[in-house]
Amino acid sequence: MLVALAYPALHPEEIDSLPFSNYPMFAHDRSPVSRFDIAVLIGADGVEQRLDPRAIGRTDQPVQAVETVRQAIRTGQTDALCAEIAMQVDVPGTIEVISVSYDAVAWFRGEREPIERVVHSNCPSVAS
Amino acid sequence: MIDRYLAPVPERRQAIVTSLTFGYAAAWLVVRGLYVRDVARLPTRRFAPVGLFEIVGGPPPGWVVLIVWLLGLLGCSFAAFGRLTRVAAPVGAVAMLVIATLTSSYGQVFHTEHLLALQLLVLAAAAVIEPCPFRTDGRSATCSGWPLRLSMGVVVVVYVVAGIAKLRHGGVDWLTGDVLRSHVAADNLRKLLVDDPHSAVGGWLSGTAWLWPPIGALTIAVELGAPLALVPGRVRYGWVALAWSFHVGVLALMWISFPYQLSGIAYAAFLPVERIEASLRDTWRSRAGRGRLEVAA
Repeated sequence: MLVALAYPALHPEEIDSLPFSNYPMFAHDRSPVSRFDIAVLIGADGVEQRLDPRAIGRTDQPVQAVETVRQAIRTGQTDALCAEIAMQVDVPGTIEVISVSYDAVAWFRGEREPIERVVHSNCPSVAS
Repeated sequence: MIDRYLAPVPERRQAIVTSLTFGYAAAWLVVRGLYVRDVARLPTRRFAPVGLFEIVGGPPPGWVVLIVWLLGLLGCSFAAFGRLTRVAAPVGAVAMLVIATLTSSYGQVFHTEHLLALQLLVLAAAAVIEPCPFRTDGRSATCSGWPLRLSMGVVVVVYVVAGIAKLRHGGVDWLTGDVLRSHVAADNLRKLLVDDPHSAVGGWLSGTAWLWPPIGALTIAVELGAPLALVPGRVRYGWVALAWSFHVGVLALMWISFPYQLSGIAYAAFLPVERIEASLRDTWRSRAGRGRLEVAA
């Protein structure tokens, strides 16, 4: 059992499964600029509002929400995801599925302007 | 070496560790019940199987998830109370593995339940191969030491593997550079962007560059130093305290909770839990006795 648990550490490829994993969380080198795949609501007044993990990914897990958006971008299904999210949001406005890049360390210093912002899909919320 | 591995441990110790571990699993299944239900209702297109679901192929229907969840809750509860352990422990352990694997099969592998799932499997195997039944009469008895020593081995290997991954993928920068600092800032920002609680302390401290190399080095030291936990006595207890503190640090800086580790139950096999229990009982009795005297006076 212990050999099987140690095997992912020796394997040339990443093995991240359950119960066997090489526990790659936070192991990879990370540049200061990070891309975040998320969904937001653009209100009737044009102001961007954050959506919570449940609205985006239908669970209470933030990483699962972000992964849902990433998966949709990877598989070209952002329109379907946008429509799904729109059904969860009862505030008038437009849902946008976006990739937004920030220098995360600088963000906490107050530099809040995104370095890049790409809109993959948009659709009206169910309340619109 | 084999003799040392099999050397007996107090029966009460194994009973307490078994009870705590399965009790934790039962509580997890209750507390995370709604989350498991949400996962079971996710669209099939989001299914990205890991572990045993790679073999199964597709997501299980909701009613199957409900049955497995119920079996897990019953199995873990019975095993926690030392009832029907030979059947309940394997049923509870396998059901918990299935449920934890399912929740990790939608694009994000969670690493918070690995240790729990593995230790449940070890204790379940022990319940079948070499049962060490509960005795509540307080008499001294021993049972084979391999289940608890294997549980310790699992903890050690998991931490070492995590440490190796950081050095393999992040390199020396993980120790000396900004890798950890960037991860902490990015993880907190990600939570903020999806309107989820984050660590304001971690975000604020990410602006202090000199702080992160020592924290990174300490993290690697705890993970690669896990084999020290196999040395009996103070060295072992020192490592357990450091590992627990490491998870407190992760919670404080990243708002990521490893509740099984934070509860201390993940490390129970390393500790003389039967002596801790006896000490707590003595304290309780003496307090209760003092209370009775005061009432009588």
